Amino acid sequence: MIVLPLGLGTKLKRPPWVTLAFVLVWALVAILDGSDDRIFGGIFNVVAETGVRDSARDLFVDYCTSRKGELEACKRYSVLVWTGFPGKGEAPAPELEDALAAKLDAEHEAADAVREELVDCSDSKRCFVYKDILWKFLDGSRQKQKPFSGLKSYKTYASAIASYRRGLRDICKENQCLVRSYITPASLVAAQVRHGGFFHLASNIFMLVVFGIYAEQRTSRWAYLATLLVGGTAGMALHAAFFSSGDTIALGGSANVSAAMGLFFVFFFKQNMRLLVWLPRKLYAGTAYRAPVMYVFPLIFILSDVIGGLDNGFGELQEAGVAHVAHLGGFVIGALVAWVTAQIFPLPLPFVYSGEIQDLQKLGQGRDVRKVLEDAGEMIRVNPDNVHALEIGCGTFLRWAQKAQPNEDGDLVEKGRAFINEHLSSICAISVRNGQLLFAGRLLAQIPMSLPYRTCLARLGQLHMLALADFCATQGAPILALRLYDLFIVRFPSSTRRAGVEATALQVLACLRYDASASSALASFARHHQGSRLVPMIELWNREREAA
Amino acid sequence: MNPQAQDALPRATQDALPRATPQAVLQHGSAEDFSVYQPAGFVLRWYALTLDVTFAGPLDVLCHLPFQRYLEKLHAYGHTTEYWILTAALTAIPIMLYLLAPTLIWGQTLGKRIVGIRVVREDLGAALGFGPVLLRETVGRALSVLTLGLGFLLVLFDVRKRAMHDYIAGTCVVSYKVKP
Repeated sequence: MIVLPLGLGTKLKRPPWVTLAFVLVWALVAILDGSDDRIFGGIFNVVAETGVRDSARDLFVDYCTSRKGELEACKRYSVLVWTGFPGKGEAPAPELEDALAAKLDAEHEAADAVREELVDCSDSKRCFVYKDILWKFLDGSRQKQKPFSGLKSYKTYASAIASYRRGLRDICKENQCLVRSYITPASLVAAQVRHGGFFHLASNIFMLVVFGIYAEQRTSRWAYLATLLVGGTAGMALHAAFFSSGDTIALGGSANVSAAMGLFFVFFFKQNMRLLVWLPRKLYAGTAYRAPVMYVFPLIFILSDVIGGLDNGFGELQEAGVAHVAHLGGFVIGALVAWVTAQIFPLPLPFVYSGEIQDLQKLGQGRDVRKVLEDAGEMIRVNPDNVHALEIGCGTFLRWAQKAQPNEDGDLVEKGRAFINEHLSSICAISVRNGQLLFAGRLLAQIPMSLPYRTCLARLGQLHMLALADFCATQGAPILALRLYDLFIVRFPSSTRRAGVEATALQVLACLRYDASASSALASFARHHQGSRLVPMIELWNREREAA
Repeated sequence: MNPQAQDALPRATQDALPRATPQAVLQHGSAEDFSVYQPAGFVLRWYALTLDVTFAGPLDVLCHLPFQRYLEKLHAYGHTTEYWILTAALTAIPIMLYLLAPTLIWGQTLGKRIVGIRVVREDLGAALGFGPVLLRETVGRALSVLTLGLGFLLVLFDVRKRAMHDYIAGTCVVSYKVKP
């Protein structure tokens, strides 16, 4: 079961140059930049020269035994401290010698085995004791009050870690990488374009393309670029200065991606985004569903970073260090910029963004009913608030249906009816919500009597229906109002409002002027709504008026 | 329309107008008649479940997070009863938040809403009581899982496409597609 975000799924109205530029720069840096080897080689050498790994392990063993751990077990678990780095005096990189590489591989395997053992302690008290010691040790190494200062190996460790940090700083000065002790504008920019590996790069490019290209459509390119840079820089600086451990370098464009996601979240808050749900039903492809951005973002993306940021548990022992605070910082800045932008350039109600207006014009001029229905359906799937697309789609089909000969193009009739069944309810609901009742009234008036409302307005809620019906009754469309009242009585048989609605329908009928058009319309209504509660009333009305 | 009609009209209906908000409509949908909709099939419900698991997972983790070490300690020191009680309570909170409340209020969780299906009563009434919802989402689902998924697979063979937890709670699931 996999769920992948796929952005909005709209057509792009202009090329997303900034997003593409970011992708290009990242890819070029990944291909051309040779500093990776220099940085990692340098770190290896510094670790080997200062012996920080060995002294950290010694410190752990000391700490562990001081907390009543057995010496052998403490030594065994110490492999989890600074895994993957060479010990003192083992001069390595940039290319590892075979013997050392084999040694490090063996160490990795041992660490994996220990980690697996510790992940699930179940009801082993002994296992938990050591896990707790590891947790506290790792917590302590991040704290500034030096909880290990009473231990005899602490002195060696302190001097080793100090010289390691100095070495790391020198490496970063040379190669412009970002650590807590070296935060400069150049290192901040360099950190945003470098990535730690192929999957890091690929996932960042994927997320930037999925969200960035849509955010770029809604704002100016310069504003978008500035937001990405500011968000990325601020996020990385925040992470490096306050939340990183000081021993690791921060890199990756994740903070820029988060800024783009912040923009996307605020700009398209009320819209639906696509989620690809992959299940084994189709091995090659999943099904794309549209999900509301306002719910999906907090539940999937923001929450994962919040959890990661709060995580004080075993995550520390896993090797992948994710800069959650950088993500959150970038996201907050992106969201803030988007909010300010949305305040200065508000979107009209109903929300139709700039690219869609051209589409709507094209849709309105379309002559091919089938094509119009397809295009309108696609536009509504993208933006459910796009009332204009709804109106054009429904109106085009209804006008065609009025003129069409019976038995003409049954396939199209079926398609059009399906379209109306699916969308007419939402157009009515939206127009009531936005106070544009005439909008829906115009469409409803076009529906022929032979197509009862109960099939095409199946999803309309009670109050929306009543609002529309009252509007029709007061604005001089009593037949329309009667059809809606009839629908209400049929659709909501147990509603508490039913008696009131029946009484109102009766009043509308009583006030109807007797003339040829009203009479024929009511006759047609009675013919097509067999079994309706209003039919006996209509017959009574007819008889009374004829007698009068 | 003559002036009398405008005077005589509204009462019940005009009362309704100012309250025509989406929330009000959702709540008042409880008197709706769902017989026009088709029952929801297995694949749709599976998709909804996938989405629900994706959304509820992080909530569950968030609730467990502050108690993670304490829970492990309880388990490791052999306080099994306390461990299970606390775990169950911490798991119940996101379930209450995510599954029960939306199902009770709207008949849909977020995943169901996205896929376009809805839980209704056996007799196609919308108003689900707290009892049936609780039964459906806890005991019913547990039994469906404990029967090695046969409870879920029942949807494939049932005439009204009801799963075991639907039978237990007296509910069924409809898709928002109008019957042909």
